[in-house]
Amino acid sequence: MSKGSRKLVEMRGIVKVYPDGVKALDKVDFDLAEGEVHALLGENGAGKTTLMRILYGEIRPTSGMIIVRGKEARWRGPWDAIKAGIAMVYQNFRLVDALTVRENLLIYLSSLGVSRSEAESRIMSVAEDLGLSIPMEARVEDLPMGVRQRVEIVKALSGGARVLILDEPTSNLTPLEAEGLFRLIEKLKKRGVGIVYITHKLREVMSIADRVTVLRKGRVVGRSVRGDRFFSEEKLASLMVGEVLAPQRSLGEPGKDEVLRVESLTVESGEGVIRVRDVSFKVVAGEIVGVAGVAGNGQEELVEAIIGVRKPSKGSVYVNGVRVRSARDFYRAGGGFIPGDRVRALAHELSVADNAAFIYYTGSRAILMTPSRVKQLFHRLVREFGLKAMSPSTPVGRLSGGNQQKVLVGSEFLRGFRVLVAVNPTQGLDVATTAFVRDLIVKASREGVGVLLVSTDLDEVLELSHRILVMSGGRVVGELRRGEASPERVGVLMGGS
Amino acid sequence: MAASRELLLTLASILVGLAAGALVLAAGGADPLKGIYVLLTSFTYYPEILLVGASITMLTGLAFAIPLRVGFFNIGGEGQLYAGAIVSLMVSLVAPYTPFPGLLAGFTAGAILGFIAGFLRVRLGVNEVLSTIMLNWAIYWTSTYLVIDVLADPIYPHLTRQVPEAARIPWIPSSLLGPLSEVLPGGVPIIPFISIAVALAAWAAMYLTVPGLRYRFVGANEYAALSRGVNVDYVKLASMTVAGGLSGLAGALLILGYSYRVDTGLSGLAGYGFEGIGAALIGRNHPLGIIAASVFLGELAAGSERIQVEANVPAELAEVVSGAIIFVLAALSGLKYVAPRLLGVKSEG
Ligand SMILES: Nc1ncnc2c1ncn2[C@@H]1O[C@H](COP(=O)(O)OP(=O)(O)O)[C@@H](O)[C@H]1O
Ligand SMILES: [Mg+2]
Repeated sequence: MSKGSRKLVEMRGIVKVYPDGVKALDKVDFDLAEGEVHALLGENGAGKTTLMRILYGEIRPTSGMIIVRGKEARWRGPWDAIKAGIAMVYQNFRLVDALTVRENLLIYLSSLGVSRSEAESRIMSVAEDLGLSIPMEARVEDLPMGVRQRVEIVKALSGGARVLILDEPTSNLTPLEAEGLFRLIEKLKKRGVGIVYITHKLREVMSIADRVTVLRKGRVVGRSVRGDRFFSEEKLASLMVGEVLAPQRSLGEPGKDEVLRVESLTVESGEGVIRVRDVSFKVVAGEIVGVAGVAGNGQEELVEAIIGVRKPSKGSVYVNGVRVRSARDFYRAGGGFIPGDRVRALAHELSVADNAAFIYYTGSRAILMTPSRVKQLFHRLVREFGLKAMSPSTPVGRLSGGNQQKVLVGSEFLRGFRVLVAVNPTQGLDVATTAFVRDLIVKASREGVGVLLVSTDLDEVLELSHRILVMSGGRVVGELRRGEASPERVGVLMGGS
Repeated sequence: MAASRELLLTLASILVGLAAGALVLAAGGADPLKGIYVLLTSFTYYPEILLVGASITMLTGLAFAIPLRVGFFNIGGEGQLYAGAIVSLMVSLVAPYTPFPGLLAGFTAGAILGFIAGFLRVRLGVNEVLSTIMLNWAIYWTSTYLVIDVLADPIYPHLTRQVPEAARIPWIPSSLLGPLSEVLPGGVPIIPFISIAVALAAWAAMYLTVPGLRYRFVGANEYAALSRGVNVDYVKLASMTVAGGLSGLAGALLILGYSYRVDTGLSGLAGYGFEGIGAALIGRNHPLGIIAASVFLGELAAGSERIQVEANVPAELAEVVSGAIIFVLAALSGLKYVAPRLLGVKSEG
């Protein structure tokens, strides 16, 4: 499909050096043709987002050029790119949460100079053409992630986009929503839209890409077209990470002592809707208990109740025999926590060192925090966890997602715990870091830590758990041991009813 | 990198502020360049105005800045300062031995007011802007009553009795100042050193301690703080209480270390609380920035005193000029910090 069709955009010799001296891209060439999906594959920090922000006009390249339909383009800002038919959908959507879908779309289109009636009709025709139902009057904050993404895509297309950049589009989606996205992408291809698909997930490349460009440390290390000899998970993986992946892992033997007990826990949401219904289980030292389920089936509320942030309406939680009534109780009793949402767990304006120290001192009674201790903490993160950051004083929000996760995970591991509650601990991480974090968890369990692993990534739960609890509709609907769990059996239970 | 940019922005806003002041002077028929020159160089003529003004504004500035980081607008600096001043005066009359009881009492009085506003907000959701403004008035009238009825000097009924000698904060006598004694024949008040010590302590508490780190986290990402076992309500309440205490301390320093009494109109106290808001905004909410901003505002105060003589500018116009400068400065500096919070916008990486 890619060969014969017209080129929409081309990028030549793109170099990007960020003001702080990080060389994010080194002479990268990239192009996109009509009606194709061109995957941009690479680990976290490889420079994928940077490359596409340049194409989208959000940042300027240090050198190199962009060619749109045969002519060199110089963007002064994203609006120039948008006018040339290029649109980007970010990992974290850029909709105004408090406004309705309609308001969001109209604001965007009117900023492009589209009249109101014209805007309404464009939105309708795009949605109709793609067979999408868009809840125009709903507030964005009330919508599931999958629907927000559809809104972003409709927004882009009704603004006239012919080039659609999707940055890690499945990272916030449930598997079902991801399926929907893939079907939508197929439709867009048929209509000639060119799609840049940024990802680090090989499976997604295999299922929808026509072509793939692999980035590693800011350089193109490989290109492949569907059907050629490089177009396989193994080949692409080795290009991407530049090393061989670890084999299937084995777990340790669980001990006897109970370290976490959840007793008939019932949790309501703020609006009084019951989110967790009468859930009981326990975790012993050295055991990893996985909680599988489609996102939004009560996992978040269950976790919040366990770590003491949310008051359950019934039931109780014990960590090492201590009743948890507040988050401080949880941490002081030996609890550790890896949250599923980096954005909510880090203070983005504060420095890497501050964030690391804040996590490290959780629950501590220490008063003094000497700069040398904090610097030492930073260096341990760099040495032991492979954190890549310019300096301890870099704002954490400047780091790539993978490095943010290293700050979060590394600081918590350096602090230490006897019970770990980990929520999607490898979400958004590249292959090497994912393996690294999973190793850490298994190693901790071998040393006697009890782990509750709540993950929407079924492979992760299957790979790491001694025992799997399946949640659906706020209940534990099934429990499987390591030997008996398979994707199919868990999948059936996850489906509920 | 971020710090140097902040500094540049502040310097740029100072220039714009001075330009605004020059415009006001020109409009009032005075020589703008000379006026600005006088405004900026009067500390040698009125060193006391600068030193005292700076030391008081520094504390009320901190009193605004500290709660702002956790999302509270403490508009109560003015009332907290009055309370600190009057209470410390009363204590000094009852226990006329050393300044310490008065200082402690002044701090406590302000802290109680800060606590009340904080408590109303955290527990009952009462907006702290409303409660602190209302408290300002309550304190103003209570103070006026006390000044006229209880504390009045039998000989000069428009003034209160004076802080007894032994309860005053001493000055450094000019005999110890060497060559500086020319400029400061009356010696140097100690209160600026106390204020600077307090501001440095605030800086150290924020940046070198674990509770200070938690406090900054509550401001930066409340949910993160909550999920890491920080008692967010407690931190907010504590920051309002400490803030009130600092304003109260400012009032106590003013009375015990400089003016020793107030007049029935409280005119010796008026304005410092609000000026602290300017100092906090110009100093970008950072203790070290607030030290610098307070010195700058102190110089403007000295300058607007002398500009009346030197540039033949009437007192009212002088006030307008320094007001314009402060306004522009605070607006430009504050915009970046306050606006995102007011609008609830988060910056993206
Ligand atoms: N705004 C920025 N300032 C400085 N460095 C940045 C910025 N954004 C990204 N980087 C750095 O550039 C590199 C590439 O990042 P990014 O393009 O986000 O990678 P990817 O999207 O492939 O994960 C990383 O080392 C990252 O830390
Ligand atoms: Mg990225």
